Order: sequence, then C-alpha cells, then structure tokens
Amino acid sequence: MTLSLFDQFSSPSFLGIPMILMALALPWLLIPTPTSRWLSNRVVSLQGWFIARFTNQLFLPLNVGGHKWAPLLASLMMFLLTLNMLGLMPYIFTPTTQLSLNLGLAVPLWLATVLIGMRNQPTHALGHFLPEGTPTTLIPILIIIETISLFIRPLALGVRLTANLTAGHLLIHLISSAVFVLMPMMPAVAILTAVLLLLLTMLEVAVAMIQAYVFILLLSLYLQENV
Amino acid sequence: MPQLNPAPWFMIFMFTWAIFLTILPPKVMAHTFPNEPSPQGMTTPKTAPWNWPWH
Repeated sequence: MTLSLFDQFSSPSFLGIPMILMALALPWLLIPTPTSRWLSNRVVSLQGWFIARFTNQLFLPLNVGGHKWAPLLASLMMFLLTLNMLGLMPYIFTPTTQLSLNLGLAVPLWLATVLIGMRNQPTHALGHFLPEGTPTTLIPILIIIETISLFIRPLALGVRLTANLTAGHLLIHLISSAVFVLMPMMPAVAILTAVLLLLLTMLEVAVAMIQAYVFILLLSLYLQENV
Repeated sequence: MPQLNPAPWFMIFMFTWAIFLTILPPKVMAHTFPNEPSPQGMTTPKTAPWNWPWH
C-alpha cells in the first residue's frame, strides 16, 4: 500500500522514452521570450519586473566579483520556480522531486563556489573553517565540524528541495485519497478533509516558491563567502 | 523510494543542465530595461498641490 503512494515519483517512461525529458523541456513554452518591441505585453513586463527586482535584491550583499553569477542564478530561479509551481497541478510530474536533478544542480554549483574561493583567495576561504573568537581548546574539534558542515552543504541543498516537494506531493495524494474514500461513507468528515486539502494546497504553493528561493539564496550565500 | 533508483540519474543530470544552459539564459537575458540605474539625488522634488475640482 505504501509503495503505491511513492509510485507517483518514479521517473515516467512511455514506449521506452523517458517522459522527464518532456517535463523538463516543455514548461518554457509558458515563459515567453521578450522580443525587441519597445512596449511588451503584461506577461512579459511582469516577468521582467520580477527578474530584475529579484536579481537586484539577491545580489545586494555580494561583492562586485560575484555579480557575474547574476544570469545563472536568475535562470536557476525561473527554472526551479516554474517546475515547482507547475508540479502542483494534477497529473503533472514535478522533476524537482527527483534527487538526481536537485543534486545535479546543487553539487556543481556549490563546488564552483568553493573552487572559486580556493583559487582566488585561498587564505580567506580556508579561514572559514575557524570562526573568530574560538577558545583555543576547541580549535581542533571546530575545524573538523566546519569541514563536515562544508561538505554536507551540497547534500543538504539537494535533499532539502527533494524532501520538501516529495513530502508535499505525498501529503496531497494521501489526503485526496482520504477524501475520495470517505465521501460515500461519512460525507461530513470528507468535507472537512477537503477543507484541509485546500489549506494544504495553499501551503504547497507557498512551499514551492519558498524552496526555490531558499536554494538560490543559499547558493548566493556560499558565493558571498568565497568571492 | 523510486527517486533513489540510480538508473536514470546520469540522463536526468545531463538533460537538466542542457536545458538550464541553453534554453533559460536567452529567455532571461532577453529582458531589457529602459533606464540606467542612477544614484539617488540629494533633493527630493517638491510637488505643488493642485486644487482642480473633481467633477
């Protein structure tokens, strides 16, 4: 019984073609590319406003050297936000529930920030392993702890997004099955559960946006330390 | 958990980066903005109130 609930996350395949290719390639039809028109339509204007304000806010605390990451992080935000939000609709597969995708994004980007730091300012980058004001006796342990926390960052980044989205979809599936089963037997309880489902869906919309934002924010923080 | 099946991992990884590097940045970079960022002026312009009657 429990296994069938997780089946919604298995990477779908049709006639031998992995459908995740469709799930990854098609959402960008919903994001129109601006043309060179002087005045664009509402959708394009809103998107441009959002991208510009978001990138501005995100890069405020970063040194100028980190600003070259702006196109990458803006693209990544659109990528994750679109995939997360689209996945909330019925029957749409959410590629960001796949650990492979999230780790595949998190590990190279985290590694890039670490390598940039180590290459350009190695002393400063290594200095992060020992916070200021540490008592002398704690130094060896703290260096070990900081090293572990550095290496756990990409894992945490990938697993955070995966787990949040998987758990959300699973809950939606569970509660909607409960509503469906309860409807003939106890309609009042079914209606209450449906209200719960509505609230949960609103929560999941928020989680979809927040988790995408947190991914980008943490990457910008890792970049801030190293650039 | 089917996400832990490593069979499609490499394909998903390659395809994600292919989409992420080829399709998205042109869409994001195509947005152009008409004004250059300017430093804030020292004086804020005073707007004189007007008393047009609103019919």
